[in-house]
Amino acid sequence: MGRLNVTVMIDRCEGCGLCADVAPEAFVFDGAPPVVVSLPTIESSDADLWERVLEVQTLCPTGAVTIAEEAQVGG
Amino acid sequence: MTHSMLLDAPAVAGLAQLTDFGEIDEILRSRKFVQGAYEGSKDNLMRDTLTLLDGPRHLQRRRILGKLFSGDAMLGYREQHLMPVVERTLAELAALDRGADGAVHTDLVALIQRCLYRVGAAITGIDGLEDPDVADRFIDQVQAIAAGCTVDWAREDPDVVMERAFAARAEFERTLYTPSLERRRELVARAQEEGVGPDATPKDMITLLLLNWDPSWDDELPLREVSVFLVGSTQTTAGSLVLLVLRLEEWFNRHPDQRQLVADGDFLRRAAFESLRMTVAAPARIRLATEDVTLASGRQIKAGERVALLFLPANMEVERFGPDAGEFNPWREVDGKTSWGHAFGGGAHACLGRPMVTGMRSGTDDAEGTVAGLARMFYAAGMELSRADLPIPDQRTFYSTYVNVPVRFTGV
Repeated sequence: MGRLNVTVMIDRCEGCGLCADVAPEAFVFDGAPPVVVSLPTIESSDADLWERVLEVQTLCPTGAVTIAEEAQVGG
Repeated sequence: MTHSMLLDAPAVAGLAQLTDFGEIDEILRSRKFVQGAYEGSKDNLMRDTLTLLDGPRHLQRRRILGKLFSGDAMLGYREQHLMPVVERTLAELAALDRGADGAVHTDLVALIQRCLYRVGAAITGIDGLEDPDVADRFIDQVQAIAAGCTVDWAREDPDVVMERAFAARAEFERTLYTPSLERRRELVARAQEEGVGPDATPKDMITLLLLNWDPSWDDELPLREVSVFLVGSTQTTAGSLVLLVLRLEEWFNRHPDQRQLVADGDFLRRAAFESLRMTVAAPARIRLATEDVTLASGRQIKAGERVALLFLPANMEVERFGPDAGEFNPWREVDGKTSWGHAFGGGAHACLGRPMVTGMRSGTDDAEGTVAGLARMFYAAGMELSRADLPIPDQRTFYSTYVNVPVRFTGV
């Protein structure tokens, strides 16, 4: 079990919105001009979302999405 | 905004021309606008390519091709392709006859192209460019295709430009693309037969498209996608590097005490970003409104209306870039926004190659981008502008490019 701590460096975001298309549960694309906001953590129990959030990190064209994987002890 | 900063070109005739940095930023990011450019090539050379798609089809293609631009992939291109290619190209240069001054005289435009086109070929999966003559023919082919893709901005007869583009693409397809495609088809088929993972196949555009083939695609799609990528990944960077060198030389003429900074990677990086701010990949980006829109500024744009976004005047706004925004100044400090302004666009169609060109991506912010890196290596080889011959601008297009920039190398 583990969790992903997701952060978005807004000053780097160029508003492509790809993250919100790939993982809309985690990334919200809104405002004028639109910017991305994200949930702070993704639990590994949601394997599909976990994979898509990792894909977002790979695909973000400006490297604005950073993810720290945190192992959870016990459970 | 002065009237002289607006464009007088057929491609933007009748369109509202927007020059405000904030308005352009808002439109680029908005989901209420889609690609509205490439009138002359959208139904042929560029049909259904990533550049022209929007919505779910754009997302699908981005998810496939985005793997080419991951942080690891970028580092790989730099170490496995860019640096060896530049070293090989400089070695080819060293083998040329020298002039009476002991230096090697050449054309900077062609030299840059040889470097960048070989890297572009590696990323797309085009083999067989080791021979300089083959590489030069490939450059001619891609340049003719590029002129066709951007035919909206041609000052020549569009029909002639398109005829040359299709002839060049046919030659490219026959001599380079098809053999490369067949090689990858075999590798993909073998990998799928053996049930091995994607690590067993090459990491290039053709292979990615084959591995993720969508039955709705036509057989020619990879050829178009590869061609358009080659154009986008080479033309703009090549043009930017030429302009960087010309601007730097002008800067050093006015500040001769700073010439030794050509060996300073940080200075060249700053200079590259500053030059990119003053360089546009297209005279205007054009977007189509899919519904009635009122921008934050109050400007209203009707559904179905196309607008022209002029990055150059936007990138010279004195409020954002200082009172000398119209001048090249490598020491410029820019608050908040990236120092290159809108050079790479923004939103869904932002340039995917930005991290490679600038070296800036999460975790690799100290990496050297393509433009600064090539400039550093050329200067290290003793590059100087020719004292006898002047650069020749390209008069065939509305793009700010050069056909020839004579230089000499004293240290190869």
